[in-house]
Amino acid sequence: MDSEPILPEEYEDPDDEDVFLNDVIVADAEREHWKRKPAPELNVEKDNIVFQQLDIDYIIGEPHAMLGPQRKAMGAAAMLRIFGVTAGGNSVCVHVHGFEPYFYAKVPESFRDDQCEGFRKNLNDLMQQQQRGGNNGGNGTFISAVSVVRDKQSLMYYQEGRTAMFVKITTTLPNMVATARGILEKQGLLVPGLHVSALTFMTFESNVLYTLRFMVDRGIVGGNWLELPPGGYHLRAKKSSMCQYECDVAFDAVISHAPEGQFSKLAPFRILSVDIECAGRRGHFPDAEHDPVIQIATMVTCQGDDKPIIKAIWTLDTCAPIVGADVLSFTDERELLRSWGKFLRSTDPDLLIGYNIVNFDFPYLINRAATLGVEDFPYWGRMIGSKLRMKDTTFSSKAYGTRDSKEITIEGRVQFDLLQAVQRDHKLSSYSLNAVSAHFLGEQKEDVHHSAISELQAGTSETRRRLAVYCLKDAYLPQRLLDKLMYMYNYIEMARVTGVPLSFLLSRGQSIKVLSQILRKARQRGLLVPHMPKKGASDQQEGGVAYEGATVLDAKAGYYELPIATLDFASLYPSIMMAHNLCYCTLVPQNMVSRMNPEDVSKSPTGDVFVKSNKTKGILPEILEELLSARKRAKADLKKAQDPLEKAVLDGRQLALKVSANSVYGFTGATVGALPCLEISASTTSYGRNMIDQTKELVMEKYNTKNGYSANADVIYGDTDSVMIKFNVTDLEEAMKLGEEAATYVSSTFIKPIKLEFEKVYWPYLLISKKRYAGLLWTNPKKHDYMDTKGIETVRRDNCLLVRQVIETVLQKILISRDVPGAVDYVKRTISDLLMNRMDLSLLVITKGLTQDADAYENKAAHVELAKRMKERDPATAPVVGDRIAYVIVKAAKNAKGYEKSEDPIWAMEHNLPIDCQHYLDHYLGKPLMRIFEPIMKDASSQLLKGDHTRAISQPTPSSAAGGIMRFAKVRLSCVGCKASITDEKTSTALCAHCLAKEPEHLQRALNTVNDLERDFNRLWTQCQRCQGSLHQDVLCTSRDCPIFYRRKKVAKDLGEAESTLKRFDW
Amino acid sequence: MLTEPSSAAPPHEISPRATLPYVARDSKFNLDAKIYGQYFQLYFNRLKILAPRLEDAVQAKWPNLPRAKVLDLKEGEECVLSGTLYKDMKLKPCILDEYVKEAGVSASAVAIEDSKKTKFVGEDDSIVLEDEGARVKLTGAAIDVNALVTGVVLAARGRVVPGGEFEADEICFPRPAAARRSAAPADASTAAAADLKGKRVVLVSDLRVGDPASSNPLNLELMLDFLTGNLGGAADASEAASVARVVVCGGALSKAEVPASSLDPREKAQISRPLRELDVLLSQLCSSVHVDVMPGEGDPTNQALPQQPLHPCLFPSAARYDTFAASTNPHEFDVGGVGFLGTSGQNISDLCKYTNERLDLMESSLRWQHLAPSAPDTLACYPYKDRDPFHLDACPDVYFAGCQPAFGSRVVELERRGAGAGAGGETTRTLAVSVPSFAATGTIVMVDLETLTCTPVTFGDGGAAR
Repeated sequence: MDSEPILPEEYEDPDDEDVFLNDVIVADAEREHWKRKPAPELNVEKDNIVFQQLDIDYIIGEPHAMLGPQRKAMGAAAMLRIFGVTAGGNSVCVHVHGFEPYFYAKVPESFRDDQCEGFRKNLNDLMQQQQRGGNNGGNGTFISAVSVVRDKQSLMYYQEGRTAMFVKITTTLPNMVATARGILEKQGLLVPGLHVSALTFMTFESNVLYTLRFMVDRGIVGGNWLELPPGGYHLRAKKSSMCQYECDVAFDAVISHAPEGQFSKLAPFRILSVDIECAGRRGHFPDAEHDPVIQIATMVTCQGDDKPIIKAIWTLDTCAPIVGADVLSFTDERELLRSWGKFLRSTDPDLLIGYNIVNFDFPYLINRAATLGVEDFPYWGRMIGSKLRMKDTTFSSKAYGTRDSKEITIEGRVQFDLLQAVQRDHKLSSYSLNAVSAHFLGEQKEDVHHSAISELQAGTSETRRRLAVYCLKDAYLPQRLLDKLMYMYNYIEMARVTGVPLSFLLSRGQSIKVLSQILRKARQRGLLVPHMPKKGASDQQEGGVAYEGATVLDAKAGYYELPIATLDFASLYPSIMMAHNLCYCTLVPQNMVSRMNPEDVSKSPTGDVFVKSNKTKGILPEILEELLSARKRAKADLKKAQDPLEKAVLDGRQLALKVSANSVYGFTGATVGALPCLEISASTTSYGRNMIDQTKELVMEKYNTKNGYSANADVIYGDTDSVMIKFNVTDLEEAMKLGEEAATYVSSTFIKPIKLEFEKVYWPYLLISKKRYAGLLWTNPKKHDYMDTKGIETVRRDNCLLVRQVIETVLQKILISRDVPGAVDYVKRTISDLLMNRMDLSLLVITKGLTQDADAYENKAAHVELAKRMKERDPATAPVVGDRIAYVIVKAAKNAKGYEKSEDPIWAMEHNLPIDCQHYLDHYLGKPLMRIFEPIMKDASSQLLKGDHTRAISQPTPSSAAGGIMRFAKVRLSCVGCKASITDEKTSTALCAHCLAKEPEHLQRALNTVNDLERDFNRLWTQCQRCQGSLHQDVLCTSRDCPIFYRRKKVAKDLGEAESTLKRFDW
Repeated sequence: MLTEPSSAAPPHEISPRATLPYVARDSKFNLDAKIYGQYFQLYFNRLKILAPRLEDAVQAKWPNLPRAKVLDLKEGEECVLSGTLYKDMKLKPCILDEYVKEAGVSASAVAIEDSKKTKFVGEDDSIVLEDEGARVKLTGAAIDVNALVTGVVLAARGRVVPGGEFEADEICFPRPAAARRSAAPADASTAAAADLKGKRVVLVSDLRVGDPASSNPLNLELMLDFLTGNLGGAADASEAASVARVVVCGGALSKAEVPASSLDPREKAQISRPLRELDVLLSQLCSSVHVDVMPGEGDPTNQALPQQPLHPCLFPSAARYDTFAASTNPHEFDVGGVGFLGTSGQNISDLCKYTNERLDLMESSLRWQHLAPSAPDTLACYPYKDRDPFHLDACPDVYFAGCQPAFGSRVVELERRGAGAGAGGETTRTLAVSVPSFAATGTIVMVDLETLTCTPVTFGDGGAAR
């Protein structure tokens, strides 16, 4: 509901010509078990081919013989290629012929059939002038046909029973649609007999991608099952692809199966997961121009299996064997790359996955091979001899932000980058593979620093084996994430529901999905989707603020110890659009309003008028109805389903349906989208606002003492689609009953299907401000469900762990234990610990990414300044672009700027640099704490942030490392007990004469320190050993994202110090 | 055995205290300069030290089978694998849990909770074997998952099955080290035997002096009087006199928990009170008999194995006696030529978290030829760089573990076969003793040095005043 996606720049497939090498590069498996299962022989007359398609693309080439000589004479044609997998796991490539690209243009009512040819000829001539190069080899045909269409009308605006005149313009090649559209819309076309001068025409469906056009027309949705009936296809004798079955069909011979019943399953397609390691030069991030690829780890898994069927690693230089994995070692990097390329082709994967493959692993491999001149490497696609293509793109969407990325075209194989998927679907504090696997799989990943990688590589076959094991683990993680997050099920279901190819889901925004559904629906109704010219930047701004967003009722901030019932509108915006029949085709133009029967129309609060559904039902409401009822069905089936795989598919489906329903509203409001219609989106939100206000009034009117209720109800907060009501009853069950009742009562005043639902009660509830609250959530009177928080920045990535821990604990204490004094005590204790420097360092570490070279930053920032300093200290280990920099804030000279106080945690630890505790309290901990406590208690600030507990602070002894006067000081032993300096070092080196009498006590205390540290040391290092999975080899991991990284370093150092104190007792 | 002192009885003669030559062998457990590195070297050395003896045992048991490394395993071929075990257990405490557990439970609370876990055993525990190169999962009839623990060095006979697991038919542990006594010349043994006649060593543990809540002071008094010959009649006195040495195997002090960070001077004073009481008790004991004090869990020294001797300044009066000896834990010594090796029980208690019965574990520990295989995985120990002092380099005659819940003893016979066994096929006999907590049971153990048998002696009401 909050996403208003922007379409990326108009998309046309890149160079349509394939590049063919003379030497045919084919799959020749080095190992037999890498190959797919052999494909059964087919009898073309009797056997059909049924397969799940995963990718559809097209190429330009000679028209197939089946299209006849007339088409041949027109020159090259577009041929679609469908790639897929049969239920038996065999790969299929289908060449589809005869589907010609087309679009519509609106023509005046006076247009006659015999003017078509003139239209065609003149348009063709203009095309010839514009199209540089043109359709080579043909007879100069660009527009192959123009025909009159009478039974259609525009999707836009309500038109009472009228149809309009259109022409359907068919082009010979897909990219000509855009050229022809440009001519018709801007330049104008002279049609003999129609008008004396050139006219411009409105075009319809002229921005539909060719492949999507085909899918819409043939009822094919992303990832569904297709069937080629017996006799309807020709098997290719000489294959041009590496697929096991390859055939040619006419476009109308392909049968598409709706994803239901047996066709809802997923085929056992092959997923190849990859991770590479490169040896960077000291102090530089690996660069494909200079640094070799030293290892490539690959796993191949069959969809539905829980274990990989192939594990293999390519290593530069020798590598000791690894159980259960194929190890291939090479002395020449070129051979390594070549061999892996062969492997890729012989395993013939349908899906390529990995973590950040699109922007790191794949470009690196491709660039590296280019640098080394391995010409036969970049052939990863399924078409024999066809090179992959790579280019830079910018992906921009309001929902997902702008990202630079690479676009790699690998024919017939879908790429699925887990990084992109996780970034899209989850808000996390960090997207490093380590953080992501810790979050979803609940385990830390071993992380070897790139400088350590070069060392391992330079070692022996054993150390390289070590690296290989690490690399294999990393290659397996994406597969595990894919399984854990059910990505295959969810994404394929999303493709099926919205009807777009699987590959669109990651590379495109939300709006193509809605457009695809509108196109399908409009086609059924005989409606044509208009092409809206793109607005300029200035228009965008105007459009962007043209209407008001959702309403938010004022929050009555405070801490509520009474149950707060929450009423939610179920699918608010979709149900408004359905209830009020809001659609492109029901919108009545303002100049037509007076002519409409007031009975038949309804006016939205913004003044826009839509006809009621008894006149014409809008297609958006229809789409939404279908989506929501399909979701209901999926949820019902989900309850019945037994098989876990079936459950996964159904759950993926209901989720996809929900997301899709919500994105329809956003689509109409996207001013730079394909089909913006602010009348719809503004009306939707205005209805929403009114409903929230109305709910508030109704509740306050009914639930008061006048009407016999025990207390007056109060609405304390309302946001977009929910209203929080305090019924002023103490009993949870009663609040629930009242909530239920109120929901039914208020719902009855709204038009169906708008429904206010009572779902939950917050008790207690801490309302901080708009969009910031926390509460204990109850859906049944017996046990609370969980603690729900909104807008409380506990997970912001630039926060240190301490803030998160403190805020979470405080909320738990307040809400779950209902122990406000306990929470206050806890905060005081924590602040005291912080000021006394008793905090675990890892809780104080802040990390930020270095997005460009440190010198390139204009503003001074803490992490950037640190990166510069670290570079001065040691260029070899200094962070490079792309690294996340971890730092702590240390004490510095008075008036030092914030950014000057950052320091590498390890450096700070080793040099005993004091932590600036006050800074943490003022800048990190203070504000969020105040936000929570201010509604709860008076003068929170003076109680929590000032007071006795803040008086005792640890003031470290200045050390010579910090410089200054201490460089000239002479260090003398001081008494362990009372800190007095020891005058008589002969009697005891630990204690002064006064404390000597209590030697056992002081010894005991020194021992306690040592023992705590010993215990921690043991627990920390054995944990690291377990994580790396080896007893006999040293731990190499330097993962700074791991919470125990700093602790295990610090404990070893502290232990040394504590032991030396102990030694002074003359043990 | 204990009779009321009868006033009618004539004052008996004071029996002379038995004396025997004593050799302390603790030097290998003494740590001087500590350097905290990683643990892998300890495991590596353990494997390296025990490998030749394992090879001997394999040679004797399966002389004709090929040896294999995990890396070179080929599916279906029968072979012998050797290496260190790692037991994968979901319930093992993990320090990372501190970060993911519900907030509000402080880190130290989690640590304490973890240390209280008495069992890690779960349904899907599994065993992997790791050699110098790699790991493989062990399955098969010979692998009793519950009877094995992390850190044990062993060999397994079997083959790799499809799926990459190693199916073991039989397993084999390192050839036991020779008995320490057998190193002594044969003719000297008769002379020694004469010396040993009727002489005893007393093992006692977990006194918890100064903690009346968990230990009955009366029982302590009774024990002290008994050992110093001041209890009962002549028979008792002579029995007491036959005790050549008392070994306190851990837990001498109460475990009164005083937080280290507490700054209250009154609480600080509390720390030293039990210490003073213990000092008095020990000095009384030392005035009459040789006493070895081993540190145990919670005692005022370092906690990771090996625990270093208690500092003499803790016992200002007892330390003045030359009969007082503060020793390490583990503690290895000879009394009259009889070899003792034992711990204050942490090794066995920790093993207990993996599996079953304590005496079985003591026996297993001897079979594994290792005192504390689960260190460092779940039992803290010092990260040795160049050796593993916890393996058995000689079989003791008496193997004891202190601070156990109940008394128990068993004779463990280990057959020494193989090339390096010297007079081929001899057998070592070791008396394994589980020394019960005195605080809980009021029981001490008397080991007869001549017959190598042991008897528990219980004082007062037995159980503590709990």
